[in-house]
Formats: sequence, structure tokens, C-alpha cells
Amino acid sequence: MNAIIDIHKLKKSFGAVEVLHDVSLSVSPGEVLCVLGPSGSGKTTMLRCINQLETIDAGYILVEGEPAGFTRDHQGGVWLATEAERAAQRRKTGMVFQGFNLFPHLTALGNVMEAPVHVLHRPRAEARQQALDLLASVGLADHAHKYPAHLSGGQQQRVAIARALACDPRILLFDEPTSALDPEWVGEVLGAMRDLAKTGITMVIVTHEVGFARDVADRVAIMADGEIIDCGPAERVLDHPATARAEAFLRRRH
Amino acid sequence: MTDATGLAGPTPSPSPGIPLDARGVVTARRPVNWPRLIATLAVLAISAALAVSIGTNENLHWDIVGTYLFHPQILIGVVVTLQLSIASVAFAFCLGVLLAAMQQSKSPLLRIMAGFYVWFFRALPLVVQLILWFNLALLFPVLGLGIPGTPLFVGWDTNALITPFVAALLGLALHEAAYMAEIVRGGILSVPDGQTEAALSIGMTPGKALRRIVLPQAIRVIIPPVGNQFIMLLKASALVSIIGGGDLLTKAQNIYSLNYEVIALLIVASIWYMAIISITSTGQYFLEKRMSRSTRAATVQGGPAIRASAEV
Repeated sequence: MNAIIDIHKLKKSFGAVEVLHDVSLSVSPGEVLCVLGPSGSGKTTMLRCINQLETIDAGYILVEGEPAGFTRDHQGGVWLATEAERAAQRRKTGMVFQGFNLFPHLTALGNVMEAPVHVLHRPRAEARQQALDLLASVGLADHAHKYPAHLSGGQQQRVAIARALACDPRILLFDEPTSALDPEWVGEVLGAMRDLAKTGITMVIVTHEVGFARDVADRVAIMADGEIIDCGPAERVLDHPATARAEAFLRRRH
Repeated sequence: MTDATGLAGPTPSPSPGIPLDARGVVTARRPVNWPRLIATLAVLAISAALAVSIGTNENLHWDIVGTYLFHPQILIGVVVTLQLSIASVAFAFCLGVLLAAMQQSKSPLLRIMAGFYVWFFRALPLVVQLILWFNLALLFPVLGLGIPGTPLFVGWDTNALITPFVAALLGLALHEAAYMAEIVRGGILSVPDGQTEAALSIGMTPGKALRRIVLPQAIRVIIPPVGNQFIMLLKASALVSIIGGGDLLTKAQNIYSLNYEVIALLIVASIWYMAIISITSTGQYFLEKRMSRSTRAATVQGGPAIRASAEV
């Protein structure tokens, strides 16, 4: 099976600090992969590299077979992608942020419609119907016309999920989607993600929710100090971690 | 000065000697604040002396002020002052957005050029710039476009092109653009990075993210100081009188150079300036109130994210 995301020997530094050392990871189409690990282990950075929100220092990332941030001409030459090409590549992945990052000057509906109307130039009426359907699918049909400031954290994050789905990506990236939430809203967001996982979309989820990873993930990767220290089927990794460091991390989590 | 009523309330005092009113609130006498009282009286006395000396001054011809207040030339000057101010603010704002966008650019050359522009036009006094633009013909007698090495050239005589009004407009707008650039940049920086990232993640190019997501939010922060700049520019526009810009002050000067009623015509001009600025300041006040209301509503969203731990 061809990987939908193929990360190969990825290196990334912030100034003098190298936060990712030769990270390699591949994700199959339709797979749900949860990435666990202590704070500062590089999980979020790796996710942001997939979406080109960070530029990579070495290695490469293939998304649907195309090298992220580069294009190939018909002679096989590799070029740095232009901003327009990078934008087109980003459209293949949807991203859900820890801090929601909804557009505060737009309603929930406006947030979801923004990309279909202004990026994909779909007809307004069609985009509106699709956006309303997406909001209904995350249980927010009644809140379509509210502004983010008038929604709870859980509702905002579900709008953000609907927004990420609006360009019909085949991959969804989640960056600690529940870490900024009050505990009372965590359940509803995880519920929406559980429903999504059943649709067959590829999901890469950086999270601290070990229980959720056990229930939903096909595979779990554990990162520490910029490396993947264990990766495999969820049950195996969570119950029988391959390395002592992974075991130590999981023990602290319980 | 103020006397406490000291009514005995229905509730007994919690401790003896502290008087309460009927609602149970402590009543007390306020001691006289002597320094404040003296300062108030002194200011009143000085103001009264000034008012009397101006009001009864025979050299100040209030009747002439009345005659010229609505003189056609003065009214033309008012219109030119408004035209100059509005046109330069509009032009400066557009150029300011462009400069601010350049300062955000990934290209170091564009950033340096924008920084140079802001430095140059803030370092040069406005009066110097106005005179410079007015005398542009001394530097470039003909302005035009051409391709070097070919006879292709379209040009105009600089003196015909740079009228006093055009020189005034150029001077004010280019000077103001440097300040506008800083205001717009501040507005852009006030929008969290997460907004740009979210816009990029839904497939926008950086340019579109700036136009559709960042600027509409930055505008709330940008509008109040732009109003301020407009008021300052309106006053600064009087400087164009030194190049005969045809504004309110130029017209007043033209008239008093003929009839020597200098003070009366300066008062005419002042009354107009004060009237226009009072109106715009009132508008500015309501605009700012509106803007701060929508900003408060918008910032609620940032709440939960602040609690989140930072993750590399």
C-alpha cells in the first residue's frame, strides 16, 4: 500500500536547537495515527512541517506522493514551490489547531465557507449548503450564524474541524485539539473526531489523550527528544512498548 | 464647604460617633482643599482678564471677522483644505498599506526599501518637503516616461504638472504615508500569528491571507489612530500656504495682504479650522467607541488558548 504521507529523515532546528533528528514516519490512506509524547518532544513541529507551516532543514515529506514545498518539472527537475503552489499543496491537508484560530470577524458559517468561496471559487450557494451540512455533522446546525466570541471552546473547536474539512482534504492534521479546552468540552470534541475517524479520512492526531488513542487510533507513535521512540499498532504500543523510554512515558501518563 | 446632613438613621451606628444616613451610608464633612481653591480662582481671574482685553480691544475688528467669515475666497480655501486633507489621507493610507506589506515581506530588499522610505520621510521636515516638491522643476525640468537608448519618450513640463496644489498633495501624502505605514504595521502585528496560519492551512496564499483575514481584523486597531492622523494632517495642511497651496490660510493671507486686517483674517481662518476639527473630533470619538466595542467582543476568543501550555 502506498503511503499518503511519507516523512523521510526529517530534520528541523529553531536557531541552534535541533528539535527533530532524522524523523521518518509513513501514514497509510485512511489510517488514524495518534502521536503521543512529552511536551517539547517535537510532535507539533513534525505536524506543522507536514502542512508547511514550518520549513524543513533536511529530509523530505511526500504528501500524496508529492514532495511538500517542491514541484517537479517533466524532466524530473526539482524546484522550490511558489507560494501559490505551496497553497495548493496545503489544500490537500486540513489542520485543526490547539488554540482553534477561528476567524473572529466571521460567523461560524463564514469561517467554514471562507476557503470554498475565496480559495476554490465555488459558487456561493453551493458552498453555503456544503458548509451548513458540515456544521450539522459536528452538531452545530443551530450555531451557524454565531460569531466565535459567542461560542464555547468545544463549539469553537468543532467549527474549526468543519472549516478544516471544507476543502475536501484527504488528510486531517490535529495539533493537540483538546489541550486548550476546559475539561467539560473535551468529550464533545473527541466525539466529533471519533465520528470523523469512521468516515475513512486519514488523520494524524498529536494529543495527550492516551485513552482516546487506544479507542480510535489504528497506530500510535511515541516521540521523545525529537525522535520517534516507538511506533506500531495502538494496542501493541500502549500495552507493550518496545523501548524503555516509551514505557517510562506511558507509565507517567497513567 | 459641603455640610453633612448628619440625619440619625433608623439603624443604630455600629460604633459611637460615626454618623450614618437613612440608607446606612457614612456621612462626613469634606475639608476645604485650599491649594485647589486658590488654583481655581487664579485660573478664573487670568481667563477673565484675557477675555476682557481681547473683547474690548479696538485693534481687533470683530465686524471685519464677521464680513469675511463667509467670503467666497475663504469658502474656496475651506474646500481646498478639505480636499487636500482627505485626498492626502486616502493616498497616504493606500501607500501605508503597501509599505506595511513590504515590511512583512520575505524579501530583504523590499523590507529595507520600505524601512528606508519610512526613515526618510519621517526624518525630513514637512515644510522642507513641500518646498522641495514645489521646486521640483529645478531638478527635473521635464517629467516623463521613456525607454533609454530609444527615441520613445512621453513627457510633460514639470512646472505645468506640479501646480502648488499638486506639490501640496504630494508633500502631505508622501510624508503622511510614512506614519500610516507604522500605524498599519502595528495593526497587522496586533493580529495573532495563528490567524495567518489558519488562513494558510485552508489553502490561502500569504497575500490573500493578509487581504482577507489579517487586514479586516487589523482595521479595528488601525482606524482610531488614522482618525487622529487626519486631524493632525488637517492642521498641518496650513503649512502649504508657504507655497501658495490655495488652502484656507493661503486665502486668508491673500486677503490680508491687500487690506492689512491680519488679525481679523487669522481669526476667520482659526474659526474655520476649529469648526472643522471639532466636527471631525466628534466623529472620531464615536468611531473609536464603536471600534473598541467590536474589539472587546473579538478578543474573547483568545481566552482559552492563553491557558494552553506552549509546545515546541
